Amino acid sequence: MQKKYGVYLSDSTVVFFEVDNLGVELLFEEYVSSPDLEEKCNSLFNKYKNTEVAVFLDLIGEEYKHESMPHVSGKDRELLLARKQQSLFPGSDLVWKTHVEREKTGRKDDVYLMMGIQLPKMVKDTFSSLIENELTVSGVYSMSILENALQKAIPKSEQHLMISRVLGRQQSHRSYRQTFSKNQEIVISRVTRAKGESVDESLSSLMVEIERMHHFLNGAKHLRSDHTLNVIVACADKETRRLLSKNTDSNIELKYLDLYQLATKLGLERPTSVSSLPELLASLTLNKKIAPHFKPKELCAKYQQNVINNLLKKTAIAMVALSLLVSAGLWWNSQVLKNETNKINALKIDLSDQHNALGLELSGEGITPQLMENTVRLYGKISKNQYTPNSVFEVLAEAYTGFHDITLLEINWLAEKVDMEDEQESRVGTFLTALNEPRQFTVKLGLPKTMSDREVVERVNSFSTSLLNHVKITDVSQTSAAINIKSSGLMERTVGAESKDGKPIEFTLLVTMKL
Amino acid sequence: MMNNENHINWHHYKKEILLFLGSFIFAIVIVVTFWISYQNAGEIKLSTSQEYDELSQDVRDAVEGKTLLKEVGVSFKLLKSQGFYGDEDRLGLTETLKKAADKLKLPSFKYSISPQQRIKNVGADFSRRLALLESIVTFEGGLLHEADFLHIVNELDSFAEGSFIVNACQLVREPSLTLFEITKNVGISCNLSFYTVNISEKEIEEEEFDEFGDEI
Repeated sequence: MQKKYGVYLSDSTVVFFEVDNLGVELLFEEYVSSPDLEEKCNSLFNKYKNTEVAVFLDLIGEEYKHESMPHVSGKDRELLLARKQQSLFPGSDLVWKTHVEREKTGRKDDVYLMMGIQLPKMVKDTFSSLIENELTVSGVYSMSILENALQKAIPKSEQHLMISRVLGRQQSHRSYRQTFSKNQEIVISRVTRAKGESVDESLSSLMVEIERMHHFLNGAKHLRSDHTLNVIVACADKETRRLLSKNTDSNIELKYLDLYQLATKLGLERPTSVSSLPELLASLTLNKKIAPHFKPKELCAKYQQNVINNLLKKTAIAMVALSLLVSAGLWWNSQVLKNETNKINALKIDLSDQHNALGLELSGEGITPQLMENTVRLYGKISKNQYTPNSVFEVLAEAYTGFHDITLLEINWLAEKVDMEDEQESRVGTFLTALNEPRQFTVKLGLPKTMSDREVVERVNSFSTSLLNHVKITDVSQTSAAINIKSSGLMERTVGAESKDGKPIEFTLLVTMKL
Repeated sequence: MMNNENHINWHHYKKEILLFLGSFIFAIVIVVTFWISYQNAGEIKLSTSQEYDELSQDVRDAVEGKTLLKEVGVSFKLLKSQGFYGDEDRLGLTETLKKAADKLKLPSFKYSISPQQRIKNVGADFSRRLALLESIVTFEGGLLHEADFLHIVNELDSFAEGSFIVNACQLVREPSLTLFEITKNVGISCNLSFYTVNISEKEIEEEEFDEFGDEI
């Protein structure tokens, strides 16, 4: 893991440390009371110019409040929260808030946990020094808020008071943080000074402070008087053992929290040494990249700028890389297409040669063979359907055998085609379909007057039958008859000596024939 | 209270923004350039493929044509020599009609030939690149005998064998027949259609101009 750096600020000390897989190593520690603190800090920060650091605050002046607010959203909520922050923490330099829950009854307000910190002058000066020396501050963390992240890793209890030592090597007048949580939410967190010239004296003072806290919690009704206060001691081994050996109030139960086990539970690699909870929390924060609780504008400006600049640079690089990748893909596909085109062109040249050779062979008549075939086929159809007198005379000649007493007075080739009843249909027919249609012609017959009516009718009928016997004739009908013997027809005739004008008896037959 | 919010001062990012914009423009330009090149290559390939397909079809047609030529080449040449394919020989037709009338010593023979017309709807099998043209010949006259009609038709058939059809005809026998002098015994009135095939002029015009009316 790459080394990461942090600045730890308490009311009494300024600590600069580095974090890696092995844990936290303190690189610089100086008391606030030191007269040359500013000079040392400047010297240190100047050495780490442009280095990314996180700032951890472990201050006395942290105040927690639970606040209910009407359930609103969007900009209204932001304005409401800002107003609430202003009214609850008017003197605070930094304010943190988190939504805890929404009430289930009444107005169903939103409940927020808010915390305000009033920064001591020393902290402000350190912030200024960090800005002046151009360190890249990623954000500011509160140790008490970070302690809340431990809730998942410690045994569940309705309430507990966690004791942790404020970072520093001093043996006397040590400071400890007491954080009381109820239902896994921070209620109060304060730093107390355990006065004493020795460790034992300091721990005795701490016990007194714990008992005072117990009384306060009872008084503030955070804890019922008959309830035992669970005190979890999250300090170094020796310190914890000594504290546990102290006599305590019967309503206070001290419990030991192994910082190594806690680190493992929190998913950290086992560090070589963990001497305090702040070190563990700093390690957790930097390893797990926990989001900062505060981002003061001036302090984090350089970091923010770096983030945006890096984002822009990375996006630009990614964009160029992607465009090059896409362009390479397009270029490759273009080359593939060009190669395929070249292959097709080569095939085209071969085909063209072949076509030219064939074209020369076929170009003799100035017309393609397909059109020649079309012409020949059309000619065949026309020549087969000429409807010449030969075909009509041939039919008549065959039928006429034995009917020399009948005179053929008139033959009429009819222009109308058969089946012309549906005019629409005939219009849409093509030339070739019309050619294949059967044809009709009429034959006017003349029979001698000397024949009796019966003989005339029989001869005409016989001639009709003779015509019908021809394979090409499909129908024969009478269109006009001098002697109409049909019951439905009109029979009108002049007989007698005066009527003998020598004119033959006329019949007209309509003949339908196939070609 | 310290300002816990971050407002972006864009002048701090001038260099990076310029880098970003430059990269953006570069990326767009390079992608568009190669995209156009790719599109052009695709279009060229498509048109080449189409030309190849057309040429392949032409070759297939030519191969098929070669086979067809073997089958119908001789017949076509004959039709061409007969005048069924090509320009109409109207003078030849009138000469044939006159010759027939003279040979038969017909007492009267009148004929007319209509202007040649294109038949629009020949049939689905008939190529649009060809035109079937029709001339209607109408004649009337007096014949000595019905066989004279056969003679006239045979004369016409020897001039344009199989290239005409009889539309309508009327043969009317005179009430009294005279066998010993040249006179009208049978009246005739006929309407015949003579056909020729030629390359369609419309098709030629369409081939010479593309779909936008530009000359090829």
